[in-house]
Amino acid sequence: MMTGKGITLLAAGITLTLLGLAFGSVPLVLLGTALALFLVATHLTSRFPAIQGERVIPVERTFEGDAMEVRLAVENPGKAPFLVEIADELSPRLRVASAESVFTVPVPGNGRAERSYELATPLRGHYSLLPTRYRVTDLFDNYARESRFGTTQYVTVFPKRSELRDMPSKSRYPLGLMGEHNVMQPGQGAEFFGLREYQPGDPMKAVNWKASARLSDALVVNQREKETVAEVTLLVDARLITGRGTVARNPLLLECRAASTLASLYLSRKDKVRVVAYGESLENLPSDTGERQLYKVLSLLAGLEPAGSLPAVEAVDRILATLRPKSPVLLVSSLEGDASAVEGASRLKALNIPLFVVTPSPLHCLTAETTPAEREAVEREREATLGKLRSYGARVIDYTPDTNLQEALMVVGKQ
Amino acid sequence: MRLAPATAGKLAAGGLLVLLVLAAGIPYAGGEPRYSAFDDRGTDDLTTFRAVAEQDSGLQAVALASGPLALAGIPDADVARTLYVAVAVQRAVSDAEAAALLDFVARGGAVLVADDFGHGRDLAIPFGVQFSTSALWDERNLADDPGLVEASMMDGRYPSVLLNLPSTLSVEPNATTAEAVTVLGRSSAASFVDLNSDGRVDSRDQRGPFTVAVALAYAGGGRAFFVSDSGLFLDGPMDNATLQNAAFAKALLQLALPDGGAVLFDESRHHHAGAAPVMGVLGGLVQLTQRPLLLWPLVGVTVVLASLAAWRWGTPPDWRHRYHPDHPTGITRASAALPAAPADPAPSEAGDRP
Repeated sequence: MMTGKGITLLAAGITLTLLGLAFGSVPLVLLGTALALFLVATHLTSRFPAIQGERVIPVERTFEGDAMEVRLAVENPGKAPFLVEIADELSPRLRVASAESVFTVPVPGNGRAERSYELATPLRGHYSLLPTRYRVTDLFDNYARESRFGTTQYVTVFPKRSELRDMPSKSRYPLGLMGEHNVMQPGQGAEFFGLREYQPGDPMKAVNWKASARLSDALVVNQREKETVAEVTLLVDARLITGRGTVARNPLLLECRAASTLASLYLSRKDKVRVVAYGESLENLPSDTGERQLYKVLSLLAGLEPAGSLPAVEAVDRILATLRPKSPVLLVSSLEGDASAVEGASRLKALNIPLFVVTPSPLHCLTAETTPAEREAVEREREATLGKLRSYGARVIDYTPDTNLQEALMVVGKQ
Repeated sequence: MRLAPATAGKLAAGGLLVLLVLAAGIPYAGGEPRYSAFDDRGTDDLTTFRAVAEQDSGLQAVALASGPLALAGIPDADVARTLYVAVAVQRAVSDAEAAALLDFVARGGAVLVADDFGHGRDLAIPFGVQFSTSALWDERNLADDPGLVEASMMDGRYPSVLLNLPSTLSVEPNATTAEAVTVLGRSSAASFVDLNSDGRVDSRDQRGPFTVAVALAYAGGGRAFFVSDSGLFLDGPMDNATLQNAAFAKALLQLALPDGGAVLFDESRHHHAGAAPVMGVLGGLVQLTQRPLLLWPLVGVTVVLASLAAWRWGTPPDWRHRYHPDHPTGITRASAALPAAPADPAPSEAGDRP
């Protein structure tokens, strides 16, 4: 394509030719024609270098708030050096932490040049990094060529999570005591539960020789306490309204961070975690445990986009039959415009399923365009919904973007 | 097959260059050129006429490539010493060009049009001169060719000027603004106009003599000469020592430019097969640039279009990355299909409070 300089020269050539004809000036005509022919000739003879390059990204998965160094390398297989402008086309949700992300690089003949920039990942998501763009011009800067080198690469940014310490809670299934725990039943756990008579098939290492010595005609074995794990269901609100706010401050972003933190906590304690996201439809990640499940949970949370208006009660109805009694449900929702959560709470309560509501306040995500009257109305709606939820026995964790989730849990623990 | 833009651009530019080179460098593809005063390729040129003008008459011969409209650019001081010559007008003439010729004469210039059945008749119309549409023959069958017609020019001073299948001329008194009209030449009594085109004289034909050359004199010194034959000034008869074509040509030049000056041979009226596109473009450009009302707007439009093009396509896109964390998502309760929050929601039931 022609550069601005080339277009200007062509226009100057045409104008000079016309003026030369008008005034009968041969020099003007010659100059104008020469300019135009020069541009045509350079267009036909222009040679752009064959540019090769690559981009190296150190990691493909990271967390919000991290940064990585992206390295760009340009190779010149030809003899003549050239100047090339290179830049990556990045999602507007990514941030370049270094001073520059567009480089004008001199590449020597048969040589290589490298540049790097620091890429910050402040917001969760699945990102595609298209091949790197480059632009070179011809010798006279009349024509430019733009193309790309490299391949498309993918980076996943997980929602950031905060560390949680175990905190006491008065609830029957306190959050702090989830994980492997004894359930006052004999089983295969590690804790001593009691003694019983030896039965054929018991391992000899289970025999309590001291106790057996006191009994003359029978062997006695140790009995261990049964351990079990809990199954936690994270019900994440991904309706369209949860995207209200700004790119870096909206309820869905906060919900995903909260869900990421909670999932990491429970999975680290070997609980099973199931994630159900509701918005346009129901997206269900089946219950499982371990590192692999953590990766699946984080990936799901990274890719959640606000859409739809499925109410919470409908989400609860759809999963109700699959919930295990006494296995808690953690509703992670801003609750804006969704009073049906109360109805959902009542149905869970009827089945003796504990409900915890982790709700980031949408008030702190509203923009300056929200009128005071609307803000007050949203606040009142929220308070009314929270009050009703508490009346159904739900444990409400109400937090703002600037409040640590752990501190919010502490509030619940003091109840 | 879809071409990349760069390749398509190169092909277009190369094709344009090839066309221009072919048009300018191979002017005679498809046929021999004729009636040119500057290209001596045979007996059908005007190079001898030009030599008579330059060498015998001491005049300056100039090729006019852009047609009669260019005459408007001649300064008034030079008009009286300029003769426009159009021999064998093979290409159509516009009304503007014919009017330009009359205007040139009104300013004091001189015009010579030599044609028979070509478009020279269109140049003659503003002057009130008409070319007949029937051929003039000579029953003496000179050189076994009845199309060769002998004419006597300038009151018999040049009695043996040979014409080749000419037409005839007439001047409409009510259509001319000339102060004086002079018959310069007539055919002999042996000439006839073959009205029924049967190649022989009969009762339906008109017998000569006929007017074959006229001179018109205008106020301000302008003069126009019309000859009803495109072959009178060709190299063949001009080089023939037995004929008086060259002598008549010299006398005519003396009559047209008594004080010397320049002879403009209009080369744009002839068929130059390969160079026609170039000549056409040049002619169009000259027409355009001689009209200020067209020229300056064209220059202005060119500058404006070039500026817009440079701004739109010439400015490289800004590749700097921008991160706007405070950019609103634009989602509202209305767009999320939710009603507005009630101003006074129902109070909560009694229950645990944090």
